Amino acid sequence: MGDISISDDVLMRKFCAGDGKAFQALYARHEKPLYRYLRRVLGTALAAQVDEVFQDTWMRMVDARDSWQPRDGVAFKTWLYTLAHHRAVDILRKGGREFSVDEGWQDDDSETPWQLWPASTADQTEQQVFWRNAGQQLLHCLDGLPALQRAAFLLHHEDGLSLDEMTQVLNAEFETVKSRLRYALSKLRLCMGAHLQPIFESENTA
Amino acid sequence: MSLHDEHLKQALKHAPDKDLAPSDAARSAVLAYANKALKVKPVSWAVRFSNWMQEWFGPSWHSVGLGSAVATVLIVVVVWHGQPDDAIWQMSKPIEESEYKSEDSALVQAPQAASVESQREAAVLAAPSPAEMPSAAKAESAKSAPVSPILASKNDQENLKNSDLAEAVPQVPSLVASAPAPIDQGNAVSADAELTKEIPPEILASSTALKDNVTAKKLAEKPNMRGLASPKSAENLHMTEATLVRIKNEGGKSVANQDIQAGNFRLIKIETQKKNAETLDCPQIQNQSIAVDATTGFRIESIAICEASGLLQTEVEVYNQTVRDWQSSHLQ
Repeated sequence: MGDISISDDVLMRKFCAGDGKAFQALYARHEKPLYRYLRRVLGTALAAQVDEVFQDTWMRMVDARDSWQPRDGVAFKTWLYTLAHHRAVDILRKGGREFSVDEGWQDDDSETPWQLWPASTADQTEQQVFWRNAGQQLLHCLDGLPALQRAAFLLHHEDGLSLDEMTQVLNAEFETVKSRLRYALSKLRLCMGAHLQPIFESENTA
Repeated sequence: MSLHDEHLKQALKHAPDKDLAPSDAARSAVLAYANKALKVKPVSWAVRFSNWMQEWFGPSWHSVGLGSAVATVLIVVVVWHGQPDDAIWQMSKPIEESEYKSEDSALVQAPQAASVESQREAAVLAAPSPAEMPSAAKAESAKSAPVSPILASKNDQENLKNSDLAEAVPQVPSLVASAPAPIDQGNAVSADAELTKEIPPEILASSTALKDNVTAKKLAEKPNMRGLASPKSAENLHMTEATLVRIKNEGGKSVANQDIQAGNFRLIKIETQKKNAETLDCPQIQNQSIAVDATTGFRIESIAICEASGLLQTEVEVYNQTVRDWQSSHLQ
């Protein structure tokens, strides 16, 4: 069942037909990416509810399996992330987070949980250390983005969804999705600033 | 401005939360929930079929017309199976035919039997019951009962005029007149002819017409359910009179049980008529009325005879009670 040649849709169909192992394979395939997505979208403030949202997303997926029909261009992954996103938005609304795309940059100097995570003890090359620091800064920057811009960036860069797929997950018009993604990139580049400066310099030199 | 930033993607890939995973409790809960859902809710054959089709023909199998083609085939199969198969038709047809046949044969045979039997029944109908007869007369009655009054001499008929037997005779001319002559009873043929002479022409004409219309009427008036009230028909006259003879001979209970077994559910009502004061004959048979018994829903077949004996009336009541008892124990 761990065979990656089997597509998500085939596994889902097998699960719908009563194959429990197909579900285990699907779960194993999407467990970490989905959990990460939820953790990043919900941000530090709502980190305590990630487990709940994650669990609820899968349960909804199980309950709604009979209504699932693969459509052209809409894969199982898109459907799963749609369920997760809607659940996350519910939590964000309850938490009083703002969704406006016009929301300004919320930078502060407070220490974020990302900086408290221990670095790997394994031998790390200079480049690995650099990217790890950049990643840590990116998480900090993401925390400052409005939730919908954050979701748009994560779906596109982390989970590899196309703009069309994102319109399904975010339940928004194509142009709206593009706009949110553009805002997110602009703010993140600004936020990352000095952390990516060496990269830009080396690229310019080359 | 590009909507994809490779540097940010690279940074995201190396972010410190890259190995973040749900707690074991959350993982166990999800897997257990899925397993439970699969056990609780079996998947319908339609879902399985749909999944199988998608696996073979792709996700859009239903949108390329294949789905409708399969659905059409399924509908045809369902409709085909919904039709009664030939065996049912073959089974039902003979039953229907046999039903008609039995009724028709009753119609056809009743007059034949009536030629011999009706004469006998006419004698039995109004004959005094054995209990009412002196023992010597019983023996004579046993001898004479099967003998048609037609075969009796004119003197005998004169004598019978004053008896119960003669009282019943005027009610049976239609039977006698419509009955074909028995094949092996030459005497009966001549006697029939003799009797025919004595039957008033208007009765003879009406009875002949009756004979011609019997089958057509029977088919036209075939009731939806045997035993329930049906329109008045002349053959009921034969049947009821024959039944009275059987009741008289075999007893009401025995005849009722036979009728029930044959599916012929009915009640019988005897309407006693008075003799003509001048001729001492019973009046011509009146139209029989057929009503429906409110309790049982069975038809009530009425027949008018002159001065029915007490035994006959008792046996008829026993017949009716037997039918009512059966109805109350089986149909309620």
